[in-house]
Amino acid sequence: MTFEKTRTITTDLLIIGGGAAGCMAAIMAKRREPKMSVTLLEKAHLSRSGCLAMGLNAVNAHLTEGTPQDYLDYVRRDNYGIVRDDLVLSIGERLNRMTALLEELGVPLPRDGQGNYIARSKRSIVMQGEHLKPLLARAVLAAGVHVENRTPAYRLLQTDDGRVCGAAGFNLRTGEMIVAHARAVLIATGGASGIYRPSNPGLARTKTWYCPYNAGSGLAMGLRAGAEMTSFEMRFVALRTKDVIAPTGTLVLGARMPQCNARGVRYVRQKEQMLGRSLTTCERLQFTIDEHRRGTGPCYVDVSGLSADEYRDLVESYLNMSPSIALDLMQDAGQPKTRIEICGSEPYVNGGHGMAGFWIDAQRRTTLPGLYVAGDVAGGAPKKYLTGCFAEAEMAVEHIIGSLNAEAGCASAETEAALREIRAPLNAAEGLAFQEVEARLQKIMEEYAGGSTQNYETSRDKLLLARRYLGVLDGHAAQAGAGDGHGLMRVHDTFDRILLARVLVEHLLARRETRWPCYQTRLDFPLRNDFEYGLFVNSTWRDGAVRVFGRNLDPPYGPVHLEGIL
Amino acid sequence: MTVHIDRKLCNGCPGKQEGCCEEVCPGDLFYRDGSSACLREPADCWDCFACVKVCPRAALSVELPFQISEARHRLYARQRGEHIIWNLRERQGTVIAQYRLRNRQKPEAQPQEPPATDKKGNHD
Ligand SMILES: Cc1cc2nc3c(=O)[nH]c(=O)nc-3n(C[C@H](O)[C@H](O)[C@H](O)COP(=O)(O)OP(=O)(O)OC[C@H]3O[C@@H](n4cnc5c(N)ncnc54)[C@H](O)[C@@H]3O)c2cc1C
Ligand code: SF4
Ligand code: SF4
Repeated sequence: MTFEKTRTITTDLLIIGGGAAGCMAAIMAKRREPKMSVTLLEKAHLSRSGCLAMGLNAVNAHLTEGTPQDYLDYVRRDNYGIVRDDLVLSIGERLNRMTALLEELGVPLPRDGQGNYIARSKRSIVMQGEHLKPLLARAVLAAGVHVENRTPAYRLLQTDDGRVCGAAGFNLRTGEMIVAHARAVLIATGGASGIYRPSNPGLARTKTWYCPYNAGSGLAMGLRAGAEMTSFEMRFVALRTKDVIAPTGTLVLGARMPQCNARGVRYVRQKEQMLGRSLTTCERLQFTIDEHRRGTGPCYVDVSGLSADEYRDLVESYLNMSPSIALDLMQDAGQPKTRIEICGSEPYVNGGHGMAGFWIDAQRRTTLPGLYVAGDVAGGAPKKYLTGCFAEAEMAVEHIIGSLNAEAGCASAETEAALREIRAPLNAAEGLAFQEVEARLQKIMEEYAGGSTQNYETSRDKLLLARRYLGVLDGHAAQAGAGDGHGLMRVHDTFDRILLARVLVEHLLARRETRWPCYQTRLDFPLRNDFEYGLFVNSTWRDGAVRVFGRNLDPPYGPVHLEGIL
Repeated sequence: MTVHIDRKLCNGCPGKQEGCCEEVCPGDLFYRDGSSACLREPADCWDCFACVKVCPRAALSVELPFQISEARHRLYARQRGEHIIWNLRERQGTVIAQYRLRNRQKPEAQPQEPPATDKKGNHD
């Protein structure tokens, strides 16, 4: 494993990341334009990578009733008014067609006696999606896509006039540096975990909800190349079962079980009756944390009402998506758990459940010519989930096919510089261990930028400390070294997480209000301020500094000057 | 403990460039030492079961770290035609619960044999 040799690939469309969005984009591109060459660089192995590795048990965005406009209204309300209406609506219009594609892939979607999908809610249906990822991967290969497994990309390549014309990375197995030249590039690397300290320490530290191997490298690559980002301050924090950090939707939507506090009070129902409406996603989390604060925590989902058969259904449903919870539920096999403790996860940067990601237009073009994005890496449209990722992939591909005119080819000086940067940690094999750098990053973010032990709350002075410490860390991190391909990947993942953390902190500083409790809580500005902050907070990264500015909520999304942080 | 490797069952997937577990792990956590699979760092494992599901020798299972579960049960998974079979076992091997779940519409090749790998080293 020397990483001295470079292999160059030339292709029409380069897709970085073979998860939900990347696989679907590859399939659609080949089906619609068989003559177009499509290359997919995947960090892990296509058959079980990213968020879909374990499988899924529901199509979380499928309209069982209502129109795309109703979907937009729901997403907008749940997000306190700040979403890109155009992006959300365009997803809503395609969702149900994307569900049909799942069946075509061979994923079982159970139906009732009348032949209808089994609804979990107005916008969610049951799926037996354990094998979803291998089935997607098979379809990608059948479509004639060129796949490079174990090939993470870490730098975008640009022409002299700034068009994105490829990417550089390396192959962990062959020990080659990989350069891909393309006429269009689509990033689909998902969101980022590992920026905050995980809920479990020690040997259980990787039991996160979001895929721990998604380091947000696509976002970091985009930032380095000058792309504009949006809404990093709206972190996504998931309400999850304690310890194994499995999703709670299966319990609350799937099995319709109540959430109660330690005294058995159904606090969610109580709040809903009081407010006369259903709770938003972040309120469900916020009121759970409030119970802890009030001394009536911890909180539970009470499944004692389930019959033995229903309990079995529950475990089976989890086996399709988060299997290790079966070990937790059945710890005492004679007496399966009837109260499942819940907690908030560590915060993530994520554009599939949340809204943090690339700033894009309706065609899923980023602000960099030649660069498209789809899925959890794309910002502005929360609650897109699996089918929304598919829909974005389709929209990007439609536009790419209609506008492929550039030639593949990149400035060679830049390619050399990118390869040098990627190889650099190999020259510092005796340097800092990435584990130490990662732990330091997570400590700073946890304590100063609103981690779970801080009830997700932060304030100006803490954020200023985070900014300062991250700057110092960034300096030291450059000494992090790698002895092999795996280490090289982990070091770059860590670099990328630090960059995202720095941008995230600036976003948190800029939004001087509390817009989304828990996702973004400023103790020094505890109220929502629609007058000043009814806008998007966006950013770019240039010459080692983050530039933050606002953008209007409505087209053409004109820039808004944000006051200083004081 | 996260993924448990039964060294008596693992044969290192002889003849394959990579062990099946090594090939699929989304975290790139496996390496082979002679004829046995090893984990680089158990604490980096997500418990995604990808390796458990593809091991042709059923040598892999998941056990929650003691820190979050003292029961020390193990969960196994095997593909069978259009189904996946889950076995929850006590340490001694007694099956506590078994689940058989349909996971695809059309039958695929069974992963009893190491999955066919094409020229590029890709397989499903
Ligand atoms: C545990 C869990 C359960 C979920 N359950 C559901 C559900 O039941 N229903 C639902 O609708 N949605 C669900 N979701 C959401 C859904 O899975 C995601 O929204 C979706 O998978 C995101 O797709 P993506 O393509 O953006 O990212 P991913 O599917 O994560 O794919 C990203 C890919 O990029 C690769 N990659 C990363 N970095 C690089 C790099 N530098 N170079 C090359 N490749 C790279 C990764 O290895 C991965 O293959 C769930 C998510 C999680 C985490
Ligand atoms: S797949 Fe199974 S038999 Fe093959 S190397 Fe891994 S553990 Fe051993
Ligand atoms: S359970 Fe998943 S993450 Fe853990 S070793 Fe197996 S394949 Fe890798």
